[in-house]
Amino acid sequence: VTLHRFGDWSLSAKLTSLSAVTTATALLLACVAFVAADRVSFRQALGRKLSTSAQIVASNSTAAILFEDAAGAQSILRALEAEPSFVSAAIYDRGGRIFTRVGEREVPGTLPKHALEVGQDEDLEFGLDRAFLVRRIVSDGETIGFVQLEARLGELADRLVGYVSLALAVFGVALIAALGMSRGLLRTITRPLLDLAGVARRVSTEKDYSVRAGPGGSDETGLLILSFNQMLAQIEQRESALTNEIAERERAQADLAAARDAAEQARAKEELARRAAEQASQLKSAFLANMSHEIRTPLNVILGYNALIQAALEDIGDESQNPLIEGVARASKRLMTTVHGILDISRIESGAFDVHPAPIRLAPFVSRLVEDHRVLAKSKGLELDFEVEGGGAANVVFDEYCLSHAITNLLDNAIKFTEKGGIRVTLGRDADEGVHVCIADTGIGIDGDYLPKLYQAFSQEQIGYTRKFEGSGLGLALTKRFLELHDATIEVRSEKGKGSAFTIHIPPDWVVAAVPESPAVADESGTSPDMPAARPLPSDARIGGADGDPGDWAKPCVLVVEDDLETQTMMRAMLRERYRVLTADDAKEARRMLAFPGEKVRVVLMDLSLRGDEDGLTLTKALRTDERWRTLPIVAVTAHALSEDRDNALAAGCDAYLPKPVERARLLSVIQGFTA
Amino acid sequence: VAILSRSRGRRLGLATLLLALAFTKAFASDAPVVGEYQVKAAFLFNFAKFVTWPSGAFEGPESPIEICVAGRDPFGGALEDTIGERTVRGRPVAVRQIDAAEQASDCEIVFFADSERAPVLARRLERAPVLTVGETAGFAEAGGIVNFKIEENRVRFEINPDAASRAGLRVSSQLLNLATVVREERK
Repeated sequence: VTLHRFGDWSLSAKLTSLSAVTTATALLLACVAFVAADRVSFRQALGRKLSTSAQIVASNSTAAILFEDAAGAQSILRALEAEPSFVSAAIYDRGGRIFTRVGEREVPGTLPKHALEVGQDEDLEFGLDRAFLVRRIVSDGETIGFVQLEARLGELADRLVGYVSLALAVFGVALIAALGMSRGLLRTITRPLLDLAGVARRVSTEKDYSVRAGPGGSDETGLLILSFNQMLAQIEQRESALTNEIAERERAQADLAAARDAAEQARAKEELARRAAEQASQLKSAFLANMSHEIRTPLNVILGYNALIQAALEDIGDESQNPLIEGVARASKRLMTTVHGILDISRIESGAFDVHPAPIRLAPFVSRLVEDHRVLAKSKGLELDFEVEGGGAANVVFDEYCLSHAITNLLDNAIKFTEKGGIRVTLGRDADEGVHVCIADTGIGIDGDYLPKLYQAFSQEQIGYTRKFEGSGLGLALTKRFLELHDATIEVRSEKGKGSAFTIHIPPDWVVAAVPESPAVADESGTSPDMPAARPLPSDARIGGADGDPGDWAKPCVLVVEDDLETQTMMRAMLRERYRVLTADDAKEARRMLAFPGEKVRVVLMDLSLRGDEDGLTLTKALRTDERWRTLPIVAVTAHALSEDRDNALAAGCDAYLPKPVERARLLSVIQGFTA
Repeated sequence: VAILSRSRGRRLGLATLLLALAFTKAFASDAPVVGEYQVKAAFLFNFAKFVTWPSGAFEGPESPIEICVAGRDPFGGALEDTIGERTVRGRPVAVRQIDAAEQASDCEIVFFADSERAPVLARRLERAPVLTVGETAGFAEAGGIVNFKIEENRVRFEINPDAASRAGLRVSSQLLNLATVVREERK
């Protein structure tokens, strides 16, 4: 049998034992109190009785004592023997000696001296089971003796036993009553609690929050059940809310994940597309740059030879072939323009086009462009007017190449599409402090349906299969894009058959107050269509002349580093009249030529793209690190005609940069600048 | 053996000595009671406690109880020694020697020493509130109230209640219980 702690007992056991213990305790206390009280009162009663007996004996035995009649005294004492509690009685004389005695027990022969104090008449003492009473016997104020009575307390023990047995009987009855009552009580107290415990267990094991405990009364148990039910309801509510929330959150998370996946895929796709586009764009750019290079190189040769032919014919005074020669030059220039356009537009579209805004005084700038077209207009019998309206003579910050290209293109178009009448160029101030340039013509005009496609690349209004006008259709598209790079806009008003008017609006942000007088650095890039006017060639310039010309040794020596043999030949033809020309196919040969002890190369014309391991840029850089050639003039002559190509060339150490096709006059003047 | 006989002889001697002592004591108790009159003096005094006199017997509430010894005085001062300064019921006790019965009228207790004439003398005080005490055989029967006697070597006494009532005295029952009650033959 294991002893459980009281806390582990069942409620009914607790209540039952509690009531039993309470009853027993109450009874025990009552019994003890009773017995104690009874004991006290019994003793008091006994004491009184003994005292009374002693007084009687004392007064009755006076004579017997005084007359020393022990027998008489004994007969008096004998009367006490009838008492149930009687044990013994004795009378002592005044000296404490035994006088007479009765009883079953021997009493001491002398009375203890301390039995009675002086002045004390009576003394009652209780032993374990006896009571002793000593009384002084007095006669006329004189102590004549003492009486001692001894009584049994046995009656008290008997009474105690009686009480205890009565108490046990009462306890038994009370216990049974208490058990019965607590059974009844249990039914009202523990049953609801047990029911509640059962429900709680079911809730905790089955996680079923929908069960409810049975209704209780309005006592504490009832309140407990009520509270428990309320708690269950709250838990149930919260649980369902929680479940919903979790489900919702999971759904949201799934959605989010899906969205993220989708976004990821989209991004990946986009990235792929972007990379493809980039690649395509790069391929396109590379292709275009390559094409530009490949077109420029032969064009350079064609133009060079053309110029040489013209010069040779002029030398012999034959001018009959001039129209043909000019035709070749014109066609070549048109080809150049087209190549430039394609290159520019592709670079803008790929974002690789860098603008270099610089202050421009607008009126002289436009005026010069107009003047450039005067000859062409005149050839078609067209009027060409330029007018600066109030405030139109402003200064703007603009990329000169872009602005010049835009205006030139519009002027070209105006002349091209106008058969009679004239072109009017006006420069004016807008209401918002911006500036506008208007080019109006009296030409064929533009069909309204075509206007939306006006600025698309490679589009030209066509009628049937007949191409009435030459041109790639790049011009307007490029113009619009150049302007947009500077936040400028272009606007067209046109009427079919009456003419068109294109207006360039430059926003006020790009308008500045003053421009420093004529920039000191001449633009050597030459990518703008407006080539500087060719200087007149020296009179003795001519084509031909053998390399072995004895006069050669007096001329300054120029080294042409060029991998294209055709170009080598052409360059030699252009230069040999004034210079002794050495040629090198690659970097290695160029180093050998430069290091040749007997030669002093005054100028190097360096093609930037060379066959072999070293290109022109690398070779230039290498030469610049060598003390012998640190100050040697090196002029880059290349078909790589982009602005970054120029920057690269100058950065590598070139002193000048000439893009192909190179006009002979310009080439000679540049070389002369270094040899003079 | 020698040792044994010697020891037996000794025991015999001891027994003889004890026996002699016992005899000595027995003889002593046969002799007249030692201090007989001391006892009788105490008894006389104590009788006063158990006898009630009529109220007219005293002159006042603090008048003494007089114990008179008529004629020969056998107490030899023992009576005075016994009484000392003791009182009975608040009254002092006095001792007086008287020579004639006429002198006994103021006495409460009169003791007559042993003599032939004692009963006669007591009869003279028959009607007076006086407790007459004698020590002569037949004293009580002859009309005395209390008479000492010696029984088994102890002083005892006889009481004649009729004589007491004739004298107007009340004798306590306690005293009567201790006494040998004597009736008068003549009645």
